[in-house]
Amino acid sequence: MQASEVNRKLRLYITEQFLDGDDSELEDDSPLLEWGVIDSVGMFALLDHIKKEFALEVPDREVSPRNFHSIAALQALITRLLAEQGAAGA
Amino acid sequence: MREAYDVVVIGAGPAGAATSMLLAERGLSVLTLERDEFPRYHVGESLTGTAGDFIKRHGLVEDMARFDFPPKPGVKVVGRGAKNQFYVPVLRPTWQVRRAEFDTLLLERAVAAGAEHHRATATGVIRAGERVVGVNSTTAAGEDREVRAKLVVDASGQGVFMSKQEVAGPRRVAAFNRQIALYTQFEGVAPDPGEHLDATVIFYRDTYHWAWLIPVSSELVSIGVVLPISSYKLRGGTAKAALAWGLEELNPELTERTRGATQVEGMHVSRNYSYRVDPFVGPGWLCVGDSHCFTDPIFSFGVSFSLTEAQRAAETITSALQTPADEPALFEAYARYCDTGQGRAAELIRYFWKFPAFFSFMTRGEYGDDIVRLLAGDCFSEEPLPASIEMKTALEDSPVLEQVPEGRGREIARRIYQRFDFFQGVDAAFLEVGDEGVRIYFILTEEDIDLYDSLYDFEEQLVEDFGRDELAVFSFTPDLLDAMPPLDAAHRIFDRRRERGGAR
Repeated sequence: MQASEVNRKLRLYITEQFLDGDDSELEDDSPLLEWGVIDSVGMFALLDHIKKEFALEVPDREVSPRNFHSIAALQALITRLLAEQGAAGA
Repeated sequence: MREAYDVVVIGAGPAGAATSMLLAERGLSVLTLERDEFPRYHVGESLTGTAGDFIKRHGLVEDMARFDFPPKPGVKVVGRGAKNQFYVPVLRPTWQVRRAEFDTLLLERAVAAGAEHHRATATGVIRAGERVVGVNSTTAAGEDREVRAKLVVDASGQGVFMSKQEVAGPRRVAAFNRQIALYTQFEGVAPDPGEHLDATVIFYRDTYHWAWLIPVSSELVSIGVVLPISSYKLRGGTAKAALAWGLEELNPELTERTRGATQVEGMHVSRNYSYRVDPFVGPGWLCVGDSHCFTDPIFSFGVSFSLTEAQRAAETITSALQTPADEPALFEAYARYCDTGQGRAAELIRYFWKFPAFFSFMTRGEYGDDIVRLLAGDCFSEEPLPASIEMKTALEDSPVLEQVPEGRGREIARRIYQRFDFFQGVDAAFLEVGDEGVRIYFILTEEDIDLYDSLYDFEEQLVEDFGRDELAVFSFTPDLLDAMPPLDAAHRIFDRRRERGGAR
C-alpha cells in the first residue's frame, strides 16, 4: 500500500470517529493527543481499526505516544510495519 | 530530655522512626520528637517492594503476620471498560498495613535500638550563624525545651516543619495539588472477584477521578476516593456525599464490592497534598520523606520512599558526623539521590494520567519488567531504566513544542506543557512570542478561588525560573472570552475543549 493511501485512510477514520466529519483543521502534524482527538478509549478503537483496515496488529512496544501523536507518526508506523511484514514474507 | 544529642529527629512516622532506629543502631545519641500520641490513625497503607525489603532487613517479617497485615501480591488498576485494566505483581514480598500499628512498631524498634522518644511539638530551630544547631520544642506537659544537636532531621511529613520555619525552601505546589482525597475504613467489603486477593486496587474513571481499595486486615479494608476539587464541589461539597458518589459512580466493581459494607472509621480528608520543598538540605539539617516532597498516593510510593530516604539519610549523617568537612558534599549527594527517586516516580504517575491506555501497554510489552521495578519503589538508580526514558520523552517532547521558536519561549511552553496538563479548571493554554516578549493566555473552565491560587503559584514559579521581564500571563474565564485578543499568531500548547467525554 502506498504511503499516500495509508494517509488517506487514516485521515478518513480520524475525521469520522473523532472530529465529527470536520477535517478543516486537521493537518499531518496536528497534535492528536494534546487536542484530545485520541483519548485512551479512542485508542483501543483505533488499534482495532488498524487491524481491520491494514491487516496489521501493532506490537505492544510500538503502542506509544511517539507513534500516535500525529497522522504523520501513525502513517510512518503503519508503513514501516507493513514493510516489515512484507519482508518477513507474511 | 537531655540538653544535647548527636541527632534530633522531628517526627516519628516511618521517615523519622526509621532514621532514628538506623542512627541509634550505629551508636549515635538520638532524640525523636513526636507531637501525636501513638498509636494513631494515618493514611498511606499500601507498601511497595522496597518497603518489604526494609521490613525483611530489620527482622520485622514476623510482626507482619502477628498484626494480621495482608501480604500484598500486586496492584490491579481498573479503568473504564474491560480493556483498560492491568495488573502489576510485586517484585518482592511486601504488605498492606494499618498505619497505627505499623508506625508504632517502627517507633518501638527505634526506641529499642536506643533512640530517646519524647512527646513534644517542635516550635523552632536554634542557629549559630547559618548553621542549625538545635531545636526548640514544647513538651506534651507544656514545658518549653531547648535541645542542641550536631545534626537535625526534619521528618515532619506533610507538616513540612523546616519549610514553615523558612529554613528549607518554600512549599511549591506540584501537579496534583488540585485534588481532594476522602478516606476511611470499611468492614464487610466483598473480596476480589478474580484471583488477586489482597491486592491494592486502583479504580479510575476520568482523569484524576479515582479510588483506592486496600485490604488492611482479614476484615478491614481501606477505601479512599480522590477527586478534583471542582468535581468535589459538584458532588455536594461534603466528604460524605463525595465518598458516596465515588462508591456509586467510579466503577461497577467498586460499587459491587462495597454494596454490603459498613464504615467503621471516621471520615478523613486531605487536600493540597502535592508539593516539593527545595532546597531541603542545609548546614546542620536535612529533610527525609514527606517533609520535602509528596507527589501523589496513587502508586503507594509514600511510605516506601520515606524508608528508602531514611536509609540513605542515616548513611549520610553517619559519614558527616565522622568527617564534618564532608558534610556539604554528602548532603548535596543525598539531595540529588532523593530528587532522582522522587522525579522518576512523578514522571511515572504523570505518564499514567496523561496516557493511561499507553501505560497499560507499557506494563505488557518489553518495558513490563521496568514498570514492575519502578512500582516496587526502585526509582533511585543513577541511570534511568529504558521505560523511564520512554516516559520522560513522551511527557516532554511533543510536536506542539516544535512549533514554538527555539529559546526562552519554547522552554516556557515546555514547562506549561509538562505541568499544566494536570491543572483542573484550565481548558486551554496559548503562548505567543512577539516583540513584547512571551505572552501566555489561559482559558479557564470555571471561576474558583482555589484555581486562582494554583495559577498564582504557577505564575510565581514561572517568574522565578524565567524572569519577570517580557513575560505576561493572562487568564480568561468563559464570560470574558470576547475580551480576548485574537490568538492567530499564538501557539496552542494544549486545548481540552475538543475532548469527548472527560470530566467537567
